[in-house]
Amino acid sequence: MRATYARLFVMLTLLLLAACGGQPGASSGPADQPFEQRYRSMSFEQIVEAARGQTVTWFMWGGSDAINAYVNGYVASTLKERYGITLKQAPVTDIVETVNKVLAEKQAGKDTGGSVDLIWINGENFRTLKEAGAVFRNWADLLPSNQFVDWENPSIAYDFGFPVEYDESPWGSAQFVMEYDSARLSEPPRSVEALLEWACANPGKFTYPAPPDFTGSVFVRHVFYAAAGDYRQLLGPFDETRYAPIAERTWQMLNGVEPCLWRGGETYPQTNTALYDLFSRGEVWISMNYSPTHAANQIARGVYPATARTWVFDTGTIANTNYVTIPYNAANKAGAMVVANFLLSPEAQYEAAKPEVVGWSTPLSFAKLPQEWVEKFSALPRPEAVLPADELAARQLSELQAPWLTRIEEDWIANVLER
Amino acid sequence: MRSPGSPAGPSPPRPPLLRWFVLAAMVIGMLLPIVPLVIWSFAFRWSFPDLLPERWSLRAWRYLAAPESQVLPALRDSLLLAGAVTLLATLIGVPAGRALGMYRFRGRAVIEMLILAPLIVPAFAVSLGIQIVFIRYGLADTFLGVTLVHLVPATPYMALVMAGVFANFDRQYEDLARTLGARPLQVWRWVTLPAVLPGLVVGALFVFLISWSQYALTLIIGGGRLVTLPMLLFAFARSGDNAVTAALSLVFIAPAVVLLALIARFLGAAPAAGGIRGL
Amino acid sequence: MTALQLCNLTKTYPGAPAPAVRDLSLEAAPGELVALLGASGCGKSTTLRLVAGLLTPCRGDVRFDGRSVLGAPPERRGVAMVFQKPLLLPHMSVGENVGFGLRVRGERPATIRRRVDELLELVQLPGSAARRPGQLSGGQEQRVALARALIVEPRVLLLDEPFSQLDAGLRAEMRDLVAGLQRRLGITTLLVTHDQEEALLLADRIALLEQGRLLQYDTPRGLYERPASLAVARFLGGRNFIPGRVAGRRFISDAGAFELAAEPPLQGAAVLTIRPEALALGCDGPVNRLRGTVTAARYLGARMRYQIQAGALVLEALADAASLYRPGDPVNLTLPPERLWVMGGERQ
Repeated sequence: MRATYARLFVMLTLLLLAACGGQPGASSGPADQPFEQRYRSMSFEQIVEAARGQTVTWFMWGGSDAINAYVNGYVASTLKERYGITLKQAPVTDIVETVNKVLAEKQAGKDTGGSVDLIWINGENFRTLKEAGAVFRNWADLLPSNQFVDWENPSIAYDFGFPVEYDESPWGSAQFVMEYDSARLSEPPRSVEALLEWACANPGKFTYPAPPDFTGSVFVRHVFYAAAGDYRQLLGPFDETRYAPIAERTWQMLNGVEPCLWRGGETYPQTNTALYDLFSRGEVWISMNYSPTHAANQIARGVYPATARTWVFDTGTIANTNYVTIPYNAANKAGAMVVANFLLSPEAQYEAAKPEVVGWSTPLSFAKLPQEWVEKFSALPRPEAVLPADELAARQLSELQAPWLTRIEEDWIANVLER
Repeated sequence: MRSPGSPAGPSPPRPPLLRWFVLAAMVIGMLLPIVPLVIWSFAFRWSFPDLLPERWSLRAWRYLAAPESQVLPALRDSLLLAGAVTLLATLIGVPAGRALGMYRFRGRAVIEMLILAPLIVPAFAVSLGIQIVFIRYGLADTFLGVTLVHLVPATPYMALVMAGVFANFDRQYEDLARTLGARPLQVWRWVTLPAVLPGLVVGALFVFLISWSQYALTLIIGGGRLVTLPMLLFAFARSGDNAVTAALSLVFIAPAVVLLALIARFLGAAPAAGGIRGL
Repeated sequence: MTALQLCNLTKTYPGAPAPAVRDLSLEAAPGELVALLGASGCGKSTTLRLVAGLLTPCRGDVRFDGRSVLGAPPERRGVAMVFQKPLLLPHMSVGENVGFGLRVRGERPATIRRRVDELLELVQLPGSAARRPGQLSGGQEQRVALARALIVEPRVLLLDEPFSQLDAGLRAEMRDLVAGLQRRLGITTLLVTHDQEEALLLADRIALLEQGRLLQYDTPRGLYERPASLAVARFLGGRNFIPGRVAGRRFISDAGAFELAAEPPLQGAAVLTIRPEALALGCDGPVNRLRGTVTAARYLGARMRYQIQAGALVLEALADAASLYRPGDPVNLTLPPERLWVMGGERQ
């Protein structure tokens, strides 16, 4: 019996060794010179040719059935028909997992034939990837769809204060909006200070997710901007002397409102999802989200009451862009570029913008789009819960650089949560 | 063994009422959490404090049925993966369990510790290191690679269960068969296998469930290229879409329940020669 | 009908301080039933397993009909074994159990069925082929085990204390059955037992083992009446050991001198023994007379057992139940010379 076991063990080891044939990396171009060296001198038609027949694996957050349906249905079939590209969606729970994966491949020395072709990404995750030298550089400007993007807008040229430099291509845009139940309050408070006053006039009906939750974090930044007065002095690298007095005022405001919050501020919702739950159950009357169409989508899904509406502060709310980027070692870069271009195209953006499809917010600039597209976008039925695009655009604030964000999050925990 | 000379007795007395009550409580306790899942999967809008959703809808199930949700391929891949892992873990774990349960040999304690180590050290802790090695050997993002890494937490369970089974197995049955002329393979087929089968099935179920429910390992080694049900499930679980999450959960639970029902006759069956008395 | 030979068999288990079987040699004639008798741990089961091929000897040889079988694994030696426990395969019927040996040999189902019925008749369980082991009593199971062993017509039949788990009444029945079958079929048989009565009853010859060594290999009568050593005598329930020395035809001891029937080959220091039932009570024979007092009397049903103090000697005697000595009674003893036996002292 022992002999049999030993034989089995040897067989298994041989099997394992036999499997190290290495992964066949899909080459993306004529065999003489790698794509990575030629692409800047190629026309987009040539890139499309090089991409034909490739399979592009796109790693993205998989928690939205609407987005999944859009990507795996409309986008995938159009890419297949038009360009012969097979799009394979790899759904993840948190894109940081994919960032770690690419970094691990880099550490293992896998500089070609990487398993990730395209990533839906922004902010901290993009910065991590780029600072590690793990992104494919300088390609987004080659895309024909790129002509409709306003790269003068700092919300696009800077990803959370970090320069993009055409290393990623815009896909969607987000602007922080506040949500409220119009059945409970007819006029929402139009500034941060007014909101805090309202909270104390209606104790227990307002709260916000605890940082480092994405949504809670950006809410705290709004309070921070309000405490700063003019936030534009804060754009740029982190500055302790400017930070300290504003932070002090911010904690005063937040600690002052804490007893009026839901559950007396004893506990904060851990995630934005938890806050939506409270809002949809009517325990709180105000919520918040990074997407202007989130409330409308939730109404359509039956999660939010039909009377939910959105508003932005008169002084504006923080807006940012989300992108798709290509890892430095992606096996199918030509295909990834073609996919990014299609995603950004007015046609695909329009499809996604339809409320019954995704209800997407587009990063395309209306100033740069041809008139026919402007009309089409404007003609889209806009649910009552979604603010008009021009109103949103008029009230945009941009994000600060990452060190401001992390510091604000840490100090919130120390000065508000733990007090 | 029955006492010598006694005739075959009457069947054992029926279990007392208390036993039935406890059994019912256990079954209800296991099935009860599934009820909200079922309701949620058909809910359009359900908020506290309603006992039932105020509006119903098939949205979640329609999404699952559509090819865009990738549910069917994920189900298939999860099944194939768990099946492969079960097969390999059995091939490795049964001889290992036999060696541990039936023999005394030098270095036995060390080997026992090595085999059971994954039960103490979570596989996740070493998975990052494994990933680097797998990338180098081209095993990352492959079905084979994920199968191998699932074997890490799964095989010790099979080995442990089989060690217990074999410890209770009377070797003399095999000796007897050999003296009657049975060759080793025949001994295995006619004597050993039928005796250890209940324990083997239980062990295989453990292994299947371990592989079936793996998230972190599949994620790190399979890297999103191999999409299994847990990965779809986790992505939705944090999205706030309770209906789809509930529907996915039901799809996730279903095969395990089916399996359990199929092998129920092996659990609590009168132990054969080897039996699972150790459990 | 196979002749069995064990030549200098030695087996030490790994890690054990001493060999389990030490230089054991004996032979069994075709059709003979040889008992391996001894206390637990004396190596008798080990010997059986060596013959079966379940163990490999460190030294020595096992020969069937003069040819070594050490090269053959158990399944090809042509042996069959019956254990202490019936070990019927629980997932098979009685008939399938019995036919197992034929099944693995690839016999045709019709042949197997016929032979199974034959064997079940032989062990007096006719028509029970369809029943399941769980439905049988312990004795019936053991008979099925026997049938299962016999069906393959083994060259050597190995029995490892097959009756020890049965109660007294069944035991006697099974012994008779086995003895009868063995004689009828003429299969060379090795029977392992710790029960000396069983060995005396069934065996053609007995090999008495102690700590892996063969003490004596003889017929039952030989072992019983002419034990080679004190150890043998003690094992077979001997009493009445008188140390002393042999001088010619006389045995000199502290308790007196005794006449022997013949001049023993052993001279010098020795031990004299006589079986309890051989002591003649209440009569004055021509020689070897002793006077003593009864110190204990026990009723055994068919006989009385007495403990008698005669000078410095304490002797045990078995007499007819009709004798009526009571403790304290004086008694005359005679030790008939032809019943006296001289053997060597304790082994070193």
